[in-house]
Amino acid sequence: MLKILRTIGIAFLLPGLIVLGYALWSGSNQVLSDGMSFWGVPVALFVFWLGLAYAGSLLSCVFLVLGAQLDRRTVTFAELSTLCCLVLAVIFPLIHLGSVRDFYLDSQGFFCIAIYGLLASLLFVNHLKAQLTESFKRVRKPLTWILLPLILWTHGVLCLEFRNAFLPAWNEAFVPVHTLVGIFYSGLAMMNGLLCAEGFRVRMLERLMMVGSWFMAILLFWNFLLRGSFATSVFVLAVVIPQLWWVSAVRDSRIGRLVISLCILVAVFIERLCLASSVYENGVSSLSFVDLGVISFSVGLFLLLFYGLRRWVGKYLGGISSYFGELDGSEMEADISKTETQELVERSQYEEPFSSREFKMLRLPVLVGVAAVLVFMAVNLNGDVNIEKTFLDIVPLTYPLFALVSGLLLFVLERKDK
Amino acid sequence: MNAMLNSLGCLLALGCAYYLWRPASDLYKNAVVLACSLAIFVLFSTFAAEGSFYPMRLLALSLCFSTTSLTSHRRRYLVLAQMFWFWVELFGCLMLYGDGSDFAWTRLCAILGIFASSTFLSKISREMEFCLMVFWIAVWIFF
Repeated sequence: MLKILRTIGIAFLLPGLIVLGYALWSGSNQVLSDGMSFWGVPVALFVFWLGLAYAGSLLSCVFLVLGAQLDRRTVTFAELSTLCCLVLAVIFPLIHLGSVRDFYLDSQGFFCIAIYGLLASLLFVNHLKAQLTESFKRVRKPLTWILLPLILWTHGVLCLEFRNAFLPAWNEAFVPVHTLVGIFYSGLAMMNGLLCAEGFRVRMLERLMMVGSWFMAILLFWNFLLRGSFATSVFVLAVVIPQLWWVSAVRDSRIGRLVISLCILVAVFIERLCLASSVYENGVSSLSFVDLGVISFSVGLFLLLFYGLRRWVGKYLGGISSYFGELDGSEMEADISKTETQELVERSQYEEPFSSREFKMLRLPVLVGVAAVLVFMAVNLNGDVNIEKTFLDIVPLTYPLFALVSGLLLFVLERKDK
Repeated sequence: MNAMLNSLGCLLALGCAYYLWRPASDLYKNAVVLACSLAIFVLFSTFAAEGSFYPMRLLALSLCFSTTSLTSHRRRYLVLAQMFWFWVELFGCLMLYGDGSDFAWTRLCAILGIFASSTFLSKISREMEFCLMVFWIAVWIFF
């Protein structure tokens, strides 16, 4: 099965690479749709893959923090897909960096994304190592508490960057929340799609996707009330089609599950496309062959990267099945239903805040992180006349700095203790 | 938005919070309540001519209120709900600041303060629940 998926990846990547090479050779006008598009498809792809990159860690963190029981394979898939999507997201700005002046990312956005990438990698490595060493397992939850706000924060900062990049659709205060719901929803679809492709089934993801479709409907309605525009294709793909989860024949079919997940991903991509450029609001028929090639390139590269890394991780850490489960889907479905219904972890007893293990592990890293932020702010605000403006410039950088310092310190201290 | 409508919004949030996390309610039931709450908040915001991120602010406030009725892991959910509220307020304000809107410093400081303080909360008694709700309402109405 993995070989087939890798072949599909190559089938998408090769034509995409040819078209991308042609576009880069011919110049920027091949990608630029019109004066207002600002590299429509690459920007949409950047936002889409970055959203999926957030989604993997976000889902992993949210489930862990809420104490929801998800099997190890699902979480490993989520965290690995985060890293692959992040690589893809970084590629698109790099393709045109330096070609278009005043583009949409300045140092703040890159700073946040870099720190997020570092801590997401740390969480993934920690997850892999936690199965071998007990000390890594202890760091996992405190690290999650640092990473979860960082995901929200980085997403917020990126929305601000886009707002400043003259993209008219991003000039609304509801954009961060609106796009966050899309991120969560597409993350669920991505996870479900990856699992379905290999023959696994996690019913919790299906239930959450069903719930997500209701929220998408409300957000589309909200968008209609605010802007007067209604994305019919997004509504059909992201709201109407997921209602097929109610039909047990579709739910029990692997193809059915895969198709619904792909529909959701396509819907979220179309939504991102509409956010990146008003050209696509009337449909995606205005996509040129270069645009389609760039999309094909990104899909192919993701599949190759994901299944390549998945194979490498399994081999490097002694047996693919210990991290991703067996490849025979039918057996694993039974296993999954068992993990979902069985109470594997007893309800923890109430712990006083100052005596909880998480508090003890986090207190020093958090204090050092706060001190680093205070020093950073004092240095930057020193002697500046327009304090408010300067303060607003440095506020977006505060939490990423805090997360970097405290996250690394938490990891180092815990390793040192052992 | 005038103070009357703002207070009405707060009441709406309080009312919707009552139906969340009821005993024996499953994922679908809670999701329906949350989705209906959001739809009500969106309609209310449109009626009150307050678009932007007001419905999400109401949803965040409603989530904060709802944590007081939880029976277990209350501190965890309390911190998460307030974290969400702070995020919505901060980036909503930052997005609007460029258009010349005021930056709600006091509101943000108050939410950040109660968010940080609540991580140290011990068992949440009925008195503490009441204090928290009064604080949130005060932040909503006066800041």
